[in-house]
Amino acid sequence: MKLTDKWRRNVPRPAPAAAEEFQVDLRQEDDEALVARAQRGQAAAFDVLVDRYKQRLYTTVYHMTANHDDANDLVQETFIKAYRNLSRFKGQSSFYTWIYRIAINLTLNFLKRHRRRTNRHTSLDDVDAAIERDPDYVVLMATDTPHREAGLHELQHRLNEALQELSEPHRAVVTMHDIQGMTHPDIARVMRCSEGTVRSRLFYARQQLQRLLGEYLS
Amino acid sequence: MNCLQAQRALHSPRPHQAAELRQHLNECTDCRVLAHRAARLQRLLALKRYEQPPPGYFDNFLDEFHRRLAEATQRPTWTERLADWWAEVSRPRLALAAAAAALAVAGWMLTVRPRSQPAPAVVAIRQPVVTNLPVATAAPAQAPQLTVVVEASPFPPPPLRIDERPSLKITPVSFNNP
Repeated sequence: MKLTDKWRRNVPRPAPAAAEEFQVDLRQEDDEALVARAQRGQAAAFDVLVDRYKQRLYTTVYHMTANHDDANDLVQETFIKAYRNLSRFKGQSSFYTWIYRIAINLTLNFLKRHRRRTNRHTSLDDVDAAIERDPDYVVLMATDTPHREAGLHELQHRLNEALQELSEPHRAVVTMHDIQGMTHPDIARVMRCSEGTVRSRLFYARQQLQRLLGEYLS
Repeated sequence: MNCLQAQRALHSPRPHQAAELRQHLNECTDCRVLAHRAARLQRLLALKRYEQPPPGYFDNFLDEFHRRLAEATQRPTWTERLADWWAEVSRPRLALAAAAAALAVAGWMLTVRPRSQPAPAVVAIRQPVVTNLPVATAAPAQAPQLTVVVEASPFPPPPLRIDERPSLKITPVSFNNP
């Protein structure tokens, strides 16, 4: 018997041991099924969606804000907004695109509101030690350039400063494409613009980043 | 493919441009250098994915979500706040406000309305009213006879000037030559 049938027949909530099994089953379901369950009031299904997308959304928002606390607030707000508006989600796009769009719009609005606060402090996350084994990082640090002496901390700050120099839409595109590896069509769907606009923003953003990070690229 | 097209394609290549781009890069040294820089920039940006939030952050994320959701649910929305405000002011204050508004409107009407009414027409009776008909047939013959005389105005109404051409020219009036 499927678990949905059990719920429909008002079977009492399962004991903790069975609840774990229930949770495991939910984790194997796709987004569409989980959204349908959550829309019927099954909060545990939405919890699985939160678990599934929290990391990706946090990463995107963090790279756009360069601040851990702001990113945390914005991602939490994203999930709360999604949960409260779940009844309006009609499945015209994927859940992933929908919730990503909420996160990006909240972040862009937040950044616009705080644009005038020029000394908005950055609160950067720690860099994972695994970077030391990344071939690109090894090559970068092995090259005979001034940044070799600067070290990892300096590199992180320079990268974040350069990203913060970009306009918000350009930063969003670079974050989604170059850091998260999203495709042009996916970014276009999230940002509700054409693929041509995404390509154009990427081109100009990288032109600017090449000027700002020139010493690391020679 | 020219250099500008090649440089655009470097950053976001389309599948059908791959062969052309490769050929251009083989022939153009400047674009080859730019391609090298673009690839290096992408590798540099990709290093940002190693930035990670504090340990345990994602483990506690769901608990914090539940806490914030409960707070947000308890916090009234603007529609609920509006309904509360309405319920609070609805009876005594609303009645008072309505009475004050009615008084204000009535006062305004009393003070403003008479001024806007047209002046009453003045009718002058120049002669005793004379009619050929007796006022009452049963009245005695000595009863005064009333006649109504409607006298034409000695000044004819001004002619309509709609058909005339408008002119700003003012004819000078001379008082020396009567």
